[in-house]
Amino acid sequence: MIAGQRERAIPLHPEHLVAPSSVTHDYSVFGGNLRSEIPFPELVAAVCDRPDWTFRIARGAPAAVRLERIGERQLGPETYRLFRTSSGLRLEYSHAGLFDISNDGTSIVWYHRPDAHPELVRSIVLGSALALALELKGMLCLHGSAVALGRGSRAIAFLGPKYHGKSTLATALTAAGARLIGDDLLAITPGPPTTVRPGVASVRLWSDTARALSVDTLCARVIHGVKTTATAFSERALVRGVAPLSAVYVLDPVGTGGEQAAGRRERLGGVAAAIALAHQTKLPGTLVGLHAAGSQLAAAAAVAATVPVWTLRAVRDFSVLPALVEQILEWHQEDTL
Amino acid sequence: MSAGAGLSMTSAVVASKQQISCAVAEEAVLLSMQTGEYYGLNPVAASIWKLIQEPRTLHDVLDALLDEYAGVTADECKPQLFSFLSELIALELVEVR
Repeated sequence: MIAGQRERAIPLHPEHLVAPSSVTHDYSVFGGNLRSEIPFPELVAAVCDRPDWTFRIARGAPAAVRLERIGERQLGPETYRLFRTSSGLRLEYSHAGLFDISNDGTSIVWYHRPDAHPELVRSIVLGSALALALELKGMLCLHGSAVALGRGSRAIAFLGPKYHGKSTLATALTAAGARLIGDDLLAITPGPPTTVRPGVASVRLWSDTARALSVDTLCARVIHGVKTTATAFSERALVRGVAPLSAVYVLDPVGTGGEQAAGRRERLGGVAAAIALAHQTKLPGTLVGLHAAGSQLAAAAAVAATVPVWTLRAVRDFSVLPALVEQILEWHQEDTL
Repeated sequence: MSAGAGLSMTSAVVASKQQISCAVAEEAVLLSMQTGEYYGLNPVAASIWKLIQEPRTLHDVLDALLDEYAGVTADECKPQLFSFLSELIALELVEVR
C-alpha cells in the first residue's frame, strides 16, 4: 500500500550508506515493493509485509565464487560487466562496486565501496539492477520516458538514446496535463494487454531544459551544464498504477531547417517495430548476452504486435516544443477522454 | 567464390543454432548470436525460414513454396530462393548439411 507521502530528501554522505541493517525503508516502484537498507528519497514510501525486492549492503568483501562472464557495456569512462554466479548474477560497475542479484531477482546485495556516490548507487539499483530483476520475470525494460493521458491512463512512451529528448517531451506533456509514469527505465509487460508499470517519479533534465520548461522550481539544484533531477511533481501529475500502453514513439530529433511541422510521425511495420524496440532496451545485448537479448527480442515482438510503434521526427528547438506537445495531444485525442 | 555458391537443389540446409528468431505476424525477426545484428524477414522469407527449422533439401523447400504460393513458377522462384539462402549462409544464419 502506498503511504501517500513522499519521504523528504535526505542529504547522504557515502558513510551514511552503511547504516545499521536493522533500519530498512519500504518503497513502491515498478508496480512492486522495494525494501532497502538505504533511503531512496526519489521513491514513494510504502507499507508492505512482503517486499518484491530487497536491497542490502554486504559488510565485507564478496566471497570467492566462480564467475562466468556474460557481457560488458562501456559508457564513456564507466564500465559495466555482468557475470553469472552459482546463485544468480553479478553486476560489476567500475565506479560503484559489485551488485549481486539472486537467481529469482528478489535480492540485490551491494558490496559497499566507500568512494561510491550515493546517488550513483541508487541510480544503479533503480536502473540496471532492477531492470535485470524485472527481465527475469519476463518484462521488457526499455530506455525511455512515458506519460499517461485521460481517465483511462493510457500510456504513450518515448524511446531513444541519450540526448534525444525523451525526458524533455515527457516533462512538457506533464506540464500540459498528462501524468508522468516514469523516466529512464520503462518496465513493460507484453500483452495483450501490453501495460507499463509506474517507475521513478522524477525526470533527469539538463539545466537549460529545466529552465525552458519552467520546472527548475521542481529541482533541488540547477547547475549549469549538469543534469538535474526534477522530483517535486504534484500527486495529480503522477501515475501510481499499471497503465495500458497506447503507443510508442522512437524519437528521431531533426534540425529546424526545412521542417514544416514541429513533429512528423511514421508508423513502423511489425518487423521494423520489433527491431526498433529491441534496439532501445535498457540492458543492451553486449551486457546481458545474446541469449537474454533473444528473450528481449521475443518480448519486443509481442509488444510490437499489440501496440503501434512510430518514429517521431521531432524538431529539436524549445520554441516549437509547445506545438509538438499540441500535435501529440491531437494524435491522441481519443486517449485524452 | 561467394558463400553459398556451392548450393545445389540436393543440398540440405537448416537454420543455424547461432541465431534466435521470433515470428511477428506473418513475418519474422532474426538475431545473430555471432554479431548481435537483427534481420527482418518478409512473409515469403519467413515461410522459407519456417521450412528450414529442420534440415531440408532445396528441392523440398522449392516444392513447399510452390504449393504455398499459387501462380508462382519454379523458374521465377528458384533464383530468389538461391539468392536468399546464399545470403543467410554468408551471414552464418543457415548451415549447409
